Amino acid sequence: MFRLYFNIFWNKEAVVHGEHHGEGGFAMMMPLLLLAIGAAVAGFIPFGHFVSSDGTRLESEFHLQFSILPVALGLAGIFTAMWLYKKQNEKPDKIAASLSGLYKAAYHKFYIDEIYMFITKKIIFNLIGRPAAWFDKNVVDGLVNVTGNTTLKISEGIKRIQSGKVQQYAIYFLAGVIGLALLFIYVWK
Amino acid sequence: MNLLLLILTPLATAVLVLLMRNATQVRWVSFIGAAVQLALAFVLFFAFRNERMAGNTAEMLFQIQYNWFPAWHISFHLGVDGISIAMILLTAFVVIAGVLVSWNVEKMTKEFYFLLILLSLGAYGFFISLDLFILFFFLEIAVIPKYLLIGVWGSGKKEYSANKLALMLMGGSALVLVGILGIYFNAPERTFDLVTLSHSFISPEVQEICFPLLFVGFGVFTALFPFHTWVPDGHSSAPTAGSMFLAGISMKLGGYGCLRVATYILHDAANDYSNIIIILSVIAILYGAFATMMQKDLKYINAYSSVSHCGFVLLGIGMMTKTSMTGAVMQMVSHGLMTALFFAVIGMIYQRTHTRQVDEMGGLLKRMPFIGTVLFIVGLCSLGLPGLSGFVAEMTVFMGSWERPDTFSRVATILSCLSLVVTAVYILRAITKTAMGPLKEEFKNLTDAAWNEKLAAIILVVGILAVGTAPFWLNDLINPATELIHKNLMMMKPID
Repeated sequence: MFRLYFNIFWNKEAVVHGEHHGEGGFAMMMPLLLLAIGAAVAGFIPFGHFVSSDGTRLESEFHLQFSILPVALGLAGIFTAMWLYKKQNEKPDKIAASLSGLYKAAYHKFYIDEIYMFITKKIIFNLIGRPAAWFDKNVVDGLVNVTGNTTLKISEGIKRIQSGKVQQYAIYFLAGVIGLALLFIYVWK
Repeated sequence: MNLLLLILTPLATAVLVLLMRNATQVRWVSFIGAAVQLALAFVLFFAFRNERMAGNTAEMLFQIQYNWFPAWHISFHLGVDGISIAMILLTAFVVIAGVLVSWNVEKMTKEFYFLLILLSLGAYGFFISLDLFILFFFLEIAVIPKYLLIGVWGSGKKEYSANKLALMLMGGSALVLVGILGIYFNAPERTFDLVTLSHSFISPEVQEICFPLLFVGFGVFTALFPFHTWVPDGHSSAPTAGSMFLAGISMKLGGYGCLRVATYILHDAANDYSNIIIILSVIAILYGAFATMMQKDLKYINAYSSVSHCGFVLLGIGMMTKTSMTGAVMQMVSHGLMTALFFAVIGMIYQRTHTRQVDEMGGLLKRMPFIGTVLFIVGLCSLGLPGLSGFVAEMTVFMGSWERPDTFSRVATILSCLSLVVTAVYILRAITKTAMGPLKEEFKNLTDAAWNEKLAAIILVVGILAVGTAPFWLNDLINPATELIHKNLMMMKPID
C-alpha cells in the first residue's frame, strides 16, 4: 500500500496534462471522506458486543505484548516503502534483479491464472471434454449407426428369399420339415 | 374438474386447425386453443389445491373411468396427483410458447400446427392416464408427430435425424409395451390399472425382468445413457417449436414414466436396480456436461446439456428418497421450461443471423437487447443461479441424494455436483461469445424480438421465476405424491 502511496504522491515530479483538475469537487471528496472516517474508526466499534455465536457479549482485552510485533512489522513495511519509493532511485530495480525468480513469480501473480488456464484448456478440454465428445460421436452414436446399417445389410442379404417363386418356397418348406424331423429324431429323442 | 377437457381441447383445436382456410386463421386458432389449455391447467391446479386443502387425501383426484375394452380389462381411466399437475402446467406453458414462436412458419402451416397440437394431445393424455394401456396409447400419439415435424420442417440432416429419433423412441416404446404386458399377465388380478397394480403383489422374479424393460424403455425418452444419441441430432434438426416440444415435453414423458410406472409399480425391483440407475445417471450428468463443452453449435450445446440435466431427473429417481424424487419432478419442470426457452432463443437468433455457430457470432446483445437478455436469463438458469428454477430443482436433488448415508451414494452425489462447474464453463463461454464482444459488420442491421417472440419468452421466464423465487407451491404440490411412491418403496424393501 505504501509503495503505491509513495509512487503516486511523491517519487517523480508531478506532470500536469492540460488543465489541472485539483482534488475534485464535493461529489468526489464526500464519499472519500466518509470512507476514510469509516476505515479509521471501524476498529473501535465493539462488534463482539453485538454479534456473537450464542447471543452473549464477547468480552476482549487489550494485550500489549501481542500488539508490539504486528505494529512493528507494519511500521517496518512503511519505512521500507519510504526508503525504496519516496525518491526516484535505483534501489527497487537492484533488489528486483537480485531476487529475479521471486520477483518474476510475484509479478505474474505466482502464475495462478496460468495454472487455471492450463488445467481447463489443456487438461479438462483436451483430455476429458474432447475425448467425451469424440466417444459420443464415434462410439456411442457409431453403435447406433452400426445397428441400423447391419439391419439394412441383413435385409439386403435375405430379401432374395422372398422371391415369389412357389417352387423355391416348397424347397424351403421341405428343408424345414426335414430339419425338424432330424432334430426330433436324433437330438430331442 | 372434468379431466376429459384436457384431451378434448387439443383435439377440438386440432380439428379446427384442419378446417381453417388460411395461415393467419390457423395461427390464431392454435394460439387460442393453447391459451384455453393453459387456463384449464391453472383451473385444474387451483381445483386440486382446494380439494387437498379441504382434506381430500385420495391418491388420485378427479378420476374418470369408462370401460373401454372389457375383454382385455382396458379402461379409459383418468386421474391426477401433484406430479401429473406439475407436468400438465409445464406442457401448457411450453405449448403456448411453441405456438407463438412458430408464428412465421409459412411452409404447410396448417399441417405444422396440427402436428404440434397432436403432440400436445399425446402429452396431456399421457400425464393423466391411470391405465397402462391408454398411457402407452398416448405415448405413441406423442411420438409420431415428432418424426414428421423433423422430417418435413427440419433443417440439416433432417431425414437421418427424424429416422433415428423415431426408431430409437419406437424401440423404447417397444420395451415399455413388453414390460406392461409382462405386468398385466403376471399380476394377481388381470388389469392395466396403475393404482391397483401399485398396491398388488407382483412376484420379485417378474419385477426383476419387467423393471429394466420399463425403465430403459422410458429412459430412452429421457436421454438415459447410452440411449441418448437421438437427442443431439433430433434437437438440432428439428424446427424451433419441435425442439422446444422435444426437450420441454417429450423428454419428460420418459422421466414421468420411469417414476410413475416403473418405480411406483415395481417398487421391489426398483430398490434392487437403484445403484445401476445411479451409475448411469452420474455418467449422463458428467459425460453430457463434458461433451457439451466441446460443442460449437448452440443447438448441440443445449441438446447435450439436456442429456446432463435429465441425468439429474434420473439421479433423483434412482436415489429413491422422498426429497430426491421431489427434486426429480422439480427438475423435469425446471428443465422443461428452461430448455424450451433456450431453444426458442436459439431459433430467434438463427432466424436473424442464419448461423448457430457461436464462433461466428458476437455482440448480439447490442442489436438485440431483449433476445440477448433472455439468453442470459436462460443461461444463468441452466448453470443453477439462485432465484431461477434450475437452482431449486438441482439443489433439491442433491439434498435428497445426500440423505442416503452410504458411501456409494455420497460419492455419486459429489460427482454430480462437480458437473455444475462444467456447466458454468460451457454456458458462460457460449453466451459470452454470442451476446458480448464486438458486433460483427454483417449483424449491424439485425432486429430485436417481435411481439410473438417476446410473449413466448415472457411466458417461459415467468414460469422459471415462479419456480425459482417461490418454490414452495411446487414443492407442496409434488410432495404428497412422491411421499406415496416413497412409502411404496419403503414397504417392500427399505434402504438401510
